[in-house]
Amino acid sequence: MALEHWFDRETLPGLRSAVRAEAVAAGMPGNQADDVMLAVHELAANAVRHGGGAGRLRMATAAGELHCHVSDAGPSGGGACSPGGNAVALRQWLIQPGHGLWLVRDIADRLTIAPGPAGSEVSAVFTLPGSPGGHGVR
Amino acid sequence: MTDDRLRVRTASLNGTCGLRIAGELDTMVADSLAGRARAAVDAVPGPVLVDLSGLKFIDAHGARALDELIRTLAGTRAAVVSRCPLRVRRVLDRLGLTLDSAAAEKTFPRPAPPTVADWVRRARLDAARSRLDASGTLVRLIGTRLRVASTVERTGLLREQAQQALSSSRAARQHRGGPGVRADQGVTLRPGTPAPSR
Repeated sequence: MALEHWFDRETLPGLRSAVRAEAVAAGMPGNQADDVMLAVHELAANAVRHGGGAGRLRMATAAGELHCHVSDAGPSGGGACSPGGNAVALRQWLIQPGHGLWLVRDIADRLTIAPGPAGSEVSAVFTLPGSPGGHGVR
Repeated sequence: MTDDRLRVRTASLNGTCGLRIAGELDTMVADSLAGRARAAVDAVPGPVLVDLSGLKFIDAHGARALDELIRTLAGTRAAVVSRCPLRVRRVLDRLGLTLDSAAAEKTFPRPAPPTVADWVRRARLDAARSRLDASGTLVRLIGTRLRVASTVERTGLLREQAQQALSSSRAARQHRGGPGVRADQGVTLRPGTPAPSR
């Protein structure tokens, strides 16, 4: 299973529906699918707000896990690096308690953030039911 | 601008303000919640009952905005969440938000619904009142009956006296052999004949 979905501010609701449907298709129960939908939404919303207003989602299952990659073009839209570019990129990925990224880290089994002034790549991995490990589901 | 993603409505319900927040409350519209909700509740008086049952999606930013809104409302007028779907509750739990407000509990005591005891008490009062009315009527009936009875008695006595007067005048006529006092000529009964007392 693989899904590729471009998104911007207007198409976020559509992205959410697509993500939930994919999670259910991968075998997740409703509650867990809701969690995955929320986590991917937070990553995508972050891209929309701070990463240039648009981004791309890729989802795939592998070895009992659901992988979600969200990438954006950065606040400058993928332009040349500026002196303060790195700092801006890092601020986008600041994890504050009670905020979106904190929620993603709470839900996902693994979270990898690769920020950059020319765009960021975030990878969130969720364990599928029936597989060993996984702590994201409450 | 797709602002119909988030719907904020108020309605007046028995003296309270029903605030319904429905649709999707995400980071894109979260900042608009406070203004829209306050404008809506300002138009309807009374404590605020927040209905979230139509909320299909909420993210971290939306949850914080919702929590802030309810705290603000509770500060100026009572506000409680009357309905919250499970999907919203789960997000709030992850974030450690309860949407509770101690102030709301203090200023919004819900009147207790009438209990069975209350109904029984009221029914007893009604029955007692009916009994009083019935007794009063009974007293009046008895009084009337007494008056009727005494009237009947007096009438009977009068009749007796009239008959006595008739027979004694007949007897007098036969004795004298001539027209005497005729019974129908103004026989007068002795006035003030006392009736036997009861």
